[in-house]
Amino acid sequence: MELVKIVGIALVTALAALLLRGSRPELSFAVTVAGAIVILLFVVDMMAASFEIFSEIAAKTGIDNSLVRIVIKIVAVGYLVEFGAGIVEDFGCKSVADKLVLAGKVIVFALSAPVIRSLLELIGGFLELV
Amino acid sequence: MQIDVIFKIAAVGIIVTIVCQILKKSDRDDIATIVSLAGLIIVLTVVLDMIGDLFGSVRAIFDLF
Repeated sequence: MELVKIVGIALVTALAALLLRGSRPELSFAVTVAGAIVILLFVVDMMAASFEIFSEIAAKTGIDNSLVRIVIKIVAVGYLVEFGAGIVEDFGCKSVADKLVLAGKVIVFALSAPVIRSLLELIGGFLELV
Repeated sequence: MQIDVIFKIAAVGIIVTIVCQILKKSDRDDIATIVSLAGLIIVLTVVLDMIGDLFGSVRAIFDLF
């Protein structure tokens, strides 16, 4: 049921943006951003529910909580970068959108550095045992 | 949800377009630019408010920073 509403909103937003593009290009930018935000707000609620389950599983299997937080942060970074890049690209500045995507990748890599380090420590621990 | 925001913004856009056309026809171009600027500012404040909401809720859920 949610999907039907979201598709409806997307169509209405596209129609409004098209309507305004002829006479008022800057207002059609605002309509696009507003429509994108409404859709994202829908999706954020659904994602929150799945994250509770995700951290429950992590707690049961004894995975360190900071690793789960890093994974959630990376998902959030990808989420916001996708949102920003899509809108910026929608209005012609393809190069700016590419820079944004590049920045997102760098941030994700920076976030995942401690995970890699802990992985190497883990492997080092095993090797010493052998 | 704020679905009606989209309709409000579209309505503001159409109204501003019509008013500007009328003002241009009665050769008051300066007022037309002021009206279109005012419409733009109103819409931008609404959109900025929504962006604030989005970032607030994302921060709350992902407890990012």
